[in-house]
Amino acid sequence: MLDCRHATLLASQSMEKRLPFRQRMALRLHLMLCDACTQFMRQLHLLRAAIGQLGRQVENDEKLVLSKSARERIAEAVAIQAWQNDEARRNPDHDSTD
Amino acid sequence: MTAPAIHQHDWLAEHGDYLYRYALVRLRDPHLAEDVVQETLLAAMQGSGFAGKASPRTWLTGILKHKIIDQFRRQQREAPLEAPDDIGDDAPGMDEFFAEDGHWAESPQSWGDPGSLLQQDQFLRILQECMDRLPKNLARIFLLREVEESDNEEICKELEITSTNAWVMLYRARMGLRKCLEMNWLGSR
Repeated sequence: MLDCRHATLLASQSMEKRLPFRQRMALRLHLMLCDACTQFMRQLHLLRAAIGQLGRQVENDEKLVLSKSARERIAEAVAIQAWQNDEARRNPDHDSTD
Repeated sequence: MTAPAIHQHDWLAEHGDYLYRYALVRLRDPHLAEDVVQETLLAAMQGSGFAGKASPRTWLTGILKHKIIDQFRRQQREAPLEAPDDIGDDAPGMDEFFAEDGHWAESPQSWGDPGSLLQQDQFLRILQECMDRLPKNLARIFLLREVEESDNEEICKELEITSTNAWVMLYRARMGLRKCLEMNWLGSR
C-alpha cells in the first residue's frame, strides 16, 4: 500500500504524463482512501489553473512594455542585422569567393 | 533595398511588447526577457524568413519559445540547482512535509471554491510572491511546464522533463508552492 509521501510523488508525475497502469491504479486507490492526498491533488490542478491565469494576465497587460532603452537597443541591433543582410544580398558571392 | 529593414522594424513596433510580456511570464526577469526578444527578432531576420503560413505573431512566438528554452538551459548550466546524484528515488528534502511513517505531517487544507479563487487578485498576488521565494530555476521549469497549454509535449522534450531530475524539480516546486500558499493565503483569510 502506497504511503502519502509516495502518493504525492505519483500525483505530481501524473501532472506530467499518463502514469503506467499499476502506478495509476495504486494512486487511484490511495486517493479513494485518503482525504489529505485528494486535497493535495486538487491543489495541483488549482496551481496549474492559477499559473495559467496569471500568465494570461501578464501577457494581456498592455501597460507592461519594453523600456525605452531596451527598445532602442533592439532597434539598433535589428538595423545592423538588416544592413548586414542587405550587404550579403548585394554581394552574394562574397563569402564563397573570399 | 530598404524594404526588408522597414518590415522588420515593424515587428519590433507591432509585436515587441507582446513578445516581451510572453518572455517575462516565463523567465521572470526583465533583462533576460529583453535579451530573448532581441535574439528572436534577429533570428527571424535570418534563414528563410516568414513564410506567411501563420500570423507573424504566431511565427515570432514560436521562435521566442526556443530562445526561452535556450536561455533556460544556459541558466541551468551556469547555476545548476543541484548535482544530479543528489536526487534519489525518495525525493530527498521532502522530510519536512511528511512524518516518519510516510503520512502528512500537516494535512493539506481546502483552498476554497476554485472558480472564485481564480477571480481573487489577492490569491494570485500571493502566488506570485510564493513563486519569488522558490529557487529561480525551480520557478522557471515550473512555469515553462505549467504556462504552456498547447505545446506541452514539445517543451517537455526540450527540457528533458522525462528525466528524473526534471520531475523531481517539478515535484519540489509544487510542494514548495502549495505549502507557501497554504501558509500565506489561508493564513490571510
